Amino acid sequence: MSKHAMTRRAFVRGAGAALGAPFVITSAALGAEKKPPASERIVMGTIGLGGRGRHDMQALISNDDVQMVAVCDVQADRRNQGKAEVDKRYGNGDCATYRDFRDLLARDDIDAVLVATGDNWHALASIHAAQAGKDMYCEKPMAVTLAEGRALCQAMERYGVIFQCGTQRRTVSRFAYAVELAQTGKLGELKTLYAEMAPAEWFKYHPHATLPPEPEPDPEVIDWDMWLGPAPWRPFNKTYLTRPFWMANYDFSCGMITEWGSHTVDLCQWANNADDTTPTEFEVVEGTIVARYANGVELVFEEGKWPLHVRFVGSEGMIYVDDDGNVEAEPKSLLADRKFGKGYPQANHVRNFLDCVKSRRQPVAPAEGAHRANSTSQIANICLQLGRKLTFDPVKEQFVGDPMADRLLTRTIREPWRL
Amino acid sequence: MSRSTIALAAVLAAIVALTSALPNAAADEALDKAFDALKGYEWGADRTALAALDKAVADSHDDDQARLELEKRLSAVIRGDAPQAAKDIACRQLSLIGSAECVPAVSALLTDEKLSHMARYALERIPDAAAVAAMRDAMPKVSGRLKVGVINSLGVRRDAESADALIALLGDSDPQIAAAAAAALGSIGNAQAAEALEGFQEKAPANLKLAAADAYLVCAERLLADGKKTDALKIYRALAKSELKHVRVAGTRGMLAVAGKK
Repeated sequence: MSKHAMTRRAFVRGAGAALGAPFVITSAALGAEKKPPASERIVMGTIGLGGRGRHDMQALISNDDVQMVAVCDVQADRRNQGKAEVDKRYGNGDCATYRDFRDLLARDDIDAVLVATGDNWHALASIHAAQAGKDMYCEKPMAVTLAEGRALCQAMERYGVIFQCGTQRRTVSRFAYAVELAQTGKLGELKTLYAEMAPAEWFKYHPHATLPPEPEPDPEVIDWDMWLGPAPWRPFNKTYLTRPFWMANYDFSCGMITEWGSHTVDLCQWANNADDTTPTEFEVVEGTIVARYANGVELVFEEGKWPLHVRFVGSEGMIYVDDDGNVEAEPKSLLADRKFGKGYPQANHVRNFLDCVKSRRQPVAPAEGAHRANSTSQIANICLQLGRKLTFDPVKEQFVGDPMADRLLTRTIREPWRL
Repeated sequence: MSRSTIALAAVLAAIVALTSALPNAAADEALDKAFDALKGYEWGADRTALAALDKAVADSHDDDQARLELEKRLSAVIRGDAPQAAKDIACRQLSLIGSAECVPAVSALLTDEKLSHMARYALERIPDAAAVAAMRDAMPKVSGRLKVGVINSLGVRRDAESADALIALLGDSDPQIAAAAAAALGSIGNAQAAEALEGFQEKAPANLKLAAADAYLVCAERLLADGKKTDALKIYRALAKSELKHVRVAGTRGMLAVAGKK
């Protein structure tokens, strides 16, 4: 039973009156066949309904112990599509829609939320969710600055809510197995970790590019002010809303390093038992970034080529894993007769989140680990931007002897928002 | 030293001076062109035209004189009649290299509806006390969202000198301003802020209950980090009796933290 079981029961009692419709005890409320009764279901809302958001939402609502009751997006077509998908799943028309995520979070019948907004909103929406007492599954990258990431961690710690970052390769068996080999010394002394960046051709736009003004739509159709949220204002242009433009723009995301680094760097950090730290040195070497941890392990950011992959090299072995299901190891005996699947489904990751909402245990991709992995990618970005070697103190979360780099650890958020 | 040796040394010195001056001259010319492009930069213009400026700013980290020169030129762009998009970029650059030198130019934008945020974008990152003082001075001159923004920045900078003004704003009729003032006081996190937030916590209207609780919790964390366990415990005990379940949980977690059990 989840922490808000009483609240949900109260909602079931009062929902009919609150919504101005007669309340009928249905088989769905009582729990038909395998479906758990309403009091044991996790009542959820989805914030952000782009392609990824709806994909995550489908993974959530495929679980019988999830009841999705509300969706939110600043774009009307996405709101309507999200509602249609939820209503189809439950065979009714009950899913509520919201333009402003704060209205969704104000519902006390909702236990948990999916945060799948644009990247510039991830941390703020998650912090608001924690302040409202909700657990959350948040897409990666969990923040666009180190300051945002730390504030998110503090909010999760403050309220004791469950946070699962959408770094789902942690629950894909072949990636988890590679990490296990590294962590347990099966590769010998760990030497070099290779993390792939997203393919450069996806990032042809300048990271600070702007676009010529176009007429601003009716906020009910596209709420431009809310879409920008904490990011600096600029006049509307529909191209901002499209990938890869916003992904490449530092006001809305963090570019090619975090796009795949959210997964690949995260796995390297995990392999190095570095979920609570970051490398201490970063430098540009032959056009890419090489970082070093305090324990001597080197992290190399590799040029991205499909399929996404990681490679861990130790003194006595190596393992390579990719998204197409390829797994190579030296010595080959490390793999024995193991069979692995393809792809990078998030079913296990979502299930882990839901189980943790019920058990109140830390999920496999908690806030601190996600923050440290994201920090490593962010610092690599800063290193690339400044074009010089940087030394970082993972305890103070500050650079050593580079005040200009320190200034890039935070960004001023546009009013009225704040961390 | 023979005359021939002196002549050779002079030639070598001239070659060295010439070869080092040539790249500098090229860089200076590229920077001048970038500033020309910046002065007329409109939304959607080619951003790569400003690459020399980006590089000059990044490379100035160990050159005080270069930073100061850039700061003066960027301040001039802000003071001039450049488009909003140009001033936006100038503020971003000054957020990296700005000092007290640029504060008068940047702070003049704090009351500008369109550029107040970008002024804060620069000022929040400038370590000099003059940057905070400028935002403190601007607080009574702005209203609505702009006031919320300035309050938020003073909170980020944990400006204890703003505490009296922020306490007065807890009773503001605009709930966004009252909530921002509470959050800023929570970030300041001293005894004066704690006392004010205690009162705010007790009388906050329903739409500010969450904001009041969060500010009070942050204040407790600041006090605890400063070693003021008794003051922090007082806050956590009060919040452990909140009508809001998750705030009660947070209060209880705080009490455990004070006891070193978390």
